[in-house]
Amino acid sequence: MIVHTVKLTNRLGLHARAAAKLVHLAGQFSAEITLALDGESVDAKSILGILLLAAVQGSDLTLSCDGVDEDSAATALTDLIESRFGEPE
Amino acid sequence: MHLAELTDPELIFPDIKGSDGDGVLRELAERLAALGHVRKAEVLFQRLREREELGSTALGRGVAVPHCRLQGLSELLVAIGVCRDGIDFAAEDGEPVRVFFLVVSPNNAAAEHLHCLAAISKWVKNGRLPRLLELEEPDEIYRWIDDSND
Repeated sequence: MIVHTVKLTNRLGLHARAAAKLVHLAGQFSAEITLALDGESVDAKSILGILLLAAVQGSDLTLSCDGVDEDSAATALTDLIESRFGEPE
Repeated sequence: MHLAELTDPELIFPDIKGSDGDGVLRELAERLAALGHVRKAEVLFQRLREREELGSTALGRGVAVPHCRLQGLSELLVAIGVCRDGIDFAAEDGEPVRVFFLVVSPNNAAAEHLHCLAAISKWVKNGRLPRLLELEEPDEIYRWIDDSND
């Protein structure tokens, strides 16, 4: 299992469109993927779960990937978050 | 943040007639303008449309959260529109949308907006929606939302 912390840097935080992108990408991997913040851990393949986190800009998210493609899942999801979901700020 | 704190019986519309996504968004915008919560229905409708064009705000389980920011708004508001027949709103799970939580935020309210979406998600995730669909009056729906917050 891979566990690491990713800082959320986009200005709007984990809003609905960013969450949809994250869920869509997570769904492409067979690994179990969770995101956690402030003690709450949610399934990264569920948009209802992701939105529950209410993660604002600057949040330190704990990303956990567990499964045969955990390496590529962790890399792809970290890249998405660190690239601010393709948002300009 | 609790869902009941964000809405009001006046903002609950249990009888939305629209037969497609645009029709529902337009009707909700017109109702909010008629109540004086927003100045121009057309401006709100266009903002909501622009957001949907970026990707559907359907969350699955028959729920969507159309939303936008609007200048001049004093506080975030949540209107609830129930469309009993269900609307194709391009949900990932393919479910028609029956309940629309319309979220209109003032500028510079990013954190409040996120907490509002979290409150809606939690409520839906906790399985509170089916009961709402059995209710017909705005006051009853509001009471259920208030009672089922946890």
